[in-house]
Parts: sequence; structure tokens; C-alpha cells
Amino acid sequence: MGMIHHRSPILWVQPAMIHAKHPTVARSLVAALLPLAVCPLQWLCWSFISPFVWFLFYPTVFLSSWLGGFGAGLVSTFLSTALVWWYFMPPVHTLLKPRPGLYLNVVVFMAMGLLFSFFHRLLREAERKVAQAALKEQDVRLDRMSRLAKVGGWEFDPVTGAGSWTEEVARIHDLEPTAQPTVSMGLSYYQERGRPLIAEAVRRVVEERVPYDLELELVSATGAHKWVRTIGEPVVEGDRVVKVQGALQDVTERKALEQELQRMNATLERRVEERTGELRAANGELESFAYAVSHDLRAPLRAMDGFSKALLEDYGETLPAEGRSFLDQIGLASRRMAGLIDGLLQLSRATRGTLERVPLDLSELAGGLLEDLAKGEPERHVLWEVEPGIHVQGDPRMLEAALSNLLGNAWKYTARIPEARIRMDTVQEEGLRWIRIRDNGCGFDMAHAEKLFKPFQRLHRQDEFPGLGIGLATVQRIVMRHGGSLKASAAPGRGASFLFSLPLPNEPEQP
Amino acid sequence: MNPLPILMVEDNPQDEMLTLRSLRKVNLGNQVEVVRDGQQALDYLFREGEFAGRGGSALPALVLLDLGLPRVGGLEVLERIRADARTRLLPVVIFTSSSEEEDRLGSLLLGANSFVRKPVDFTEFAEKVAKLGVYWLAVNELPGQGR
Repeated sequence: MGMIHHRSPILWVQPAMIHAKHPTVARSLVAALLPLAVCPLQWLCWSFISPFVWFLFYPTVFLSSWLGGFGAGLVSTFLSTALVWWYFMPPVHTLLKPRPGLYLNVVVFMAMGLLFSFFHRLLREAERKVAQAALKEQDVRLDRMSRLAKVGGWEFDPVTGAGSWTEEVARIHDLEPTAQPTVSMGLSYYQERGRPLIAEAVRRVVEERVPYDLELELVSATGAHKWVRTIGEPVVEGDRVVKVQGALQDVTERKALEQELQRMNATLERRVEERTGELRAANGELESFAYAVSHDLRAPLRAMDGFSKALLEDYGETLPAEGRSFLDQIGLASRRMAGLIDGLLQLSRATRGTLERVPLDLSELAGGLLEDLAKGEPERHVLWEVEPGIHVQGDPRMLEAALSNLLGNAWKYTARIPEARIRMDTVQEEGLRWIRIRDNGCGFDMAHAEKLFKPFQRLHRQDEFPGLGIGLATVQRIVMRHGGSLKASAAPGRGASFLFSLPLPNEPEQP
Repeated sequence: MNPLPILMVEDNPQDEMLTLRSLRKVNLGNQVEVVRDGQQALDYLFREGEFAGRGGSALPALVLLDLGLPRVGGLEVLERIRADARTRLLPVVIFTSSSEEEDRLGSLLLGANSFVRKPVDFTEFAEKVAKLGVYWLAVNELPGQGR
């Protein structure tokens, strides 16, 4: 039987499966001696069966050959013939039978017995061939799957250390598919780092019956570095582990991808860190620039103003009027430059630092600011009106600066209007709530509106309305920092309106 | 008895001249000692280094301290003045061009008695210096000054 020696590439041939088709000795013996049991049965029922002497013996021979195979069938046939000859064929209890017709009867029975036995043998062989073919087909299918998944099976005997594995496991080790391992040989392919791990896992599965699932690095027979995942489980018989069975998968590709991903993540993280560092450095530079502006650039201006004034005070009398006016101009210019520096600082400071989001009542804030403006110029009569209860979420310091600039502008540009009016309210436009500050001041031509929010750009001459041109630039930065937008509308001589929107903090910020 | 001097810590010679001029105009009669950096200021106060053998009074009546100083910065000078038992109560007025909130807060947290910003406008400047001098040297009373 070649079948028994055939080693499946995937499964170890299970001999019990094949032997199940082969009668055991005990079964053959029982089958062969079956007629001995049938004989008394027929004897008991003879009164009903008579004169059919072979009545129970045809099925008996059939059964014997089916259960016990060819040999048992033959023995059963001869035994049945002898028993029927002696006990049932008339005249009974004698070997000599006077009627020659009975001999034909015997020959037919024996021929049938032979036929049953032979037929069952053929049947059994055909069956075995079908099973073998199915097994082979399954093997091929499993082998294909095994190659594709790079998975194989293995087992070993913990007592002898002898083991076996499937062809794919051998292939993963870059060995001949037929090479068979021992435990120590199998372990020898693992890298130094992994060997203690696998040795410990094997010890535990044998001694404590704990299954394992490990990912280890191995160096194959040809020196290739591979990653494998191996699982092992104990096979317990009685109270001891007779076998350890498991599977092994080549996970080199997945591992390489994982490592690549890790490497890329690390690179990305490092790059983010670098950029953050650069940004921090740039911010730091900007801060120190602002500091230098505030501290160092002012000192020379102070000297210019100071010494020109000192000159004027101490030696003014000896200078002609024109000389004195020149000194005045030096003072004027240095003070104006100081103002520009202040404006620049105000602009950079407006949006420096972290943005806080706290609930604010802009109506209250605006009221306070307008009162301050009124106190600063008590001689002016301005009619102002603020819609109550304008609530927003934002940075208190920044929004106060923004409002202060917008209301300050409204205050300034209504200076020449006899009935000055300033109004703050809210309007719905473009699906947003806008906070509007409107005045009936001198306004401006919208043709120049693009200059409005640029630092140091002005729409009025210094002799009309003095200023630095920093206020609206500051307002725009503050509003943008909050994720909102700012717009204006005006006409010369007909006042100006400035509208800004602040998104609610739970809404996504506008880009 | 000579009144105690004022110690001015100032690295900008023009600011120094303008301050001196402004102080002179109020006729306080206090001498003004000028040092140019933070290290010199500390050496003067603790009689170390180049001022090891300095005569005169132990401590000035007032320190006018700039912040942006070479070598040892103004805030550090202030910190060391406050950390030493001898100078713990010495009146120190920060007199600087800086308008940074950080500097204002930092100075006061470290125990400055006043924070005064130097304005660019000289008229304003002279006025501030005069007020400062009068307040700290004539109006304010310090421990141990009982007459």
C-alpha cells in the first residue's frame, strides 16, 4: 500500500484514516466465524424457514465479506457450506447425501460466496482510490494556499526531540522541501535575540501546556534574514504532552512594511519637530526684534528731540527765528517717528500670545470705551447708541483693542460734523451675524478701500486727520486671528460702516 | 552733611546727559554717580572689583536702573540687590525705554519700587525725571532717616 508511505506536503498522513478501510484481525475473525452464530439461529427458526437451507447463510456470507474482506468471505463461505451440509441438508447429520440435486445447490452457494468476497474487495479498492484522489486534490489545494500565505505546519515530540514540518516550512527556511528537522535544528535558525524567547516558549508549552504566539527573526539556510510568526500548542494524551503542534508563517513583507511605516513616522515626527523649532526660532527673533524696536530705536530719537530742545532752551536766544524753527522740525520729526514705532509695536503686539476664548459682552465694552472717549474730549457732542446684549466669545485684550480702534476712528472722523452720531449694532448678512459700527463722519471713497487694512496706509492727509495708519490693520489682524472677517462700506461725506463677524467657537473656523 | 548720592545705571551716554541735565534743573543737591553696566552697578553697591576701595556713603539714596544693560542685565541687577540683606530696602526705580508688559511686570515682581518709561518727547522726559527726583529724594522717607 503506497498510500501509507506517501507523505502529504501539507498534512502528515493520518494512518488511522487509511486503516479504517482495512479490517483488523479481530474484525476479520469475527466476520469469518459469523456462520457459527447464524447456524443456531436458523436452527431455532427452522420450522418457518424449511426447506430453504441457505436462507440465513446468503446474507451471512455477504456480511462476512463486507466486514472481513476477501479472506473472511471465503472462510465464511466454506464454514457455511459445511454447517448447512451437516445440519440442514436432508438427510441431516450425515456427510453422504443421496440426492445428487443438492450438489448443484452447494456449488451455486459457494460460487456466490466467492463472488461476494471478490466484489467487496473490488469495491473497497475503488473506494480507497477515490479517497486517495480526494486527499491528493486537497493536498494540492492546501499546498497552493500554503505557498500563497507562506504558512506551514510543524510538530515535534518533546521526549525524543524528533519533529516534522510541511514543505512550506522547509521552504521558509530555504531548505529542500523534503528536509526533516529536529527541535534543536529548528531552533538553530533563530537569531540570537529570539532564541531565548522561543526556547522559553517551548519549555512552557511542554511543561506548563501554555500555547505561544511569537514573532521572531530567523536566518535561513541560505543566510536570508526573515521574520516569522510561529504559534505552538500542546497535544495532551493522558497527563502528559506527547506532541507540540503549530504553524509557522513568513511575515517578512509585513514586518518590512511595518518598519518602513515606523521609520516614516519617525521621520515625519522629526521633521515636525524641526519645523516647530524653526518656527519657534523665527518667533523668538520677531519678539527680540519687537523688543529692539521698543527699546533701542527710541533712544536716538529721544536724543534728537532732547538735544534740539536743550539747544533751544539754552542757546535759543542766540539763534535766528529760522534756526529755531529748524530745531522745532527736528523735534517734530523725532516725535513722529516715535509714534510710528509705537504703532508698529501695537500691530505686532495685537495678535501676539495665545488666543483666549471667553464670553464677552461687547455692548458693555463699547459703552465704556465711548465714555472714555467722551471724557477725553468733553467739548464735543456726540450722540452714540449701542445695541445692548451683543455677546461673543473671544480674547478680551484683543477684542478691546479692536473695538477701541474702530470706535476711536468713528470718534475721530466725526470731529467736523455738527451732529455727530455713532451707532453699534448687529446685522445678519451672508448667513453670519455681523457687528456693525457706523458713523455719520466724513467717510471715504471706496475706490481706495484696498489700502484700508494695510499698515501705514491712510486715506486722509495728516493735516485733515492726523494718524499713523495702524488702527484698522490691527483690527483686521485681531478679527482674522479669531477666524472672523472684517469689511467696510463708506462714501465721501456720508459716513462709514465697519462690520466684523466672529465665529462661535463650536463652529469650524473660517479659513 | 552731604545728601546721599543717586546711582544712575545707564549705558546710553545721550540718555545719561539728558537725565543729568534734567536732574540739574531741579537743584536737588544730590551728587549723581554714573555706572555704565550691570556688573559695575553691583560692584559699586557691594564695593567690589573696581569699586573695592570706594569711599563715601555705603549706599546711594536711589538707584535709577535701565533694563537693557551690557554684561549683567537690569533685571538681574535688581534681583541681586533684593537678594542681599544690605541692599534689600534700597529704593530702585526702573528707568527704561521699554514699554513691554513683560518688563513692567517682571520689574515689579522682582521688587522694583517704580517703573518709569523714558518718553521720546524731551519735555515729557524732563518733567518725569524732575518729578522722580523730587519724589524719591525729597518727598519719600526711608527707614533710618528719622531726623
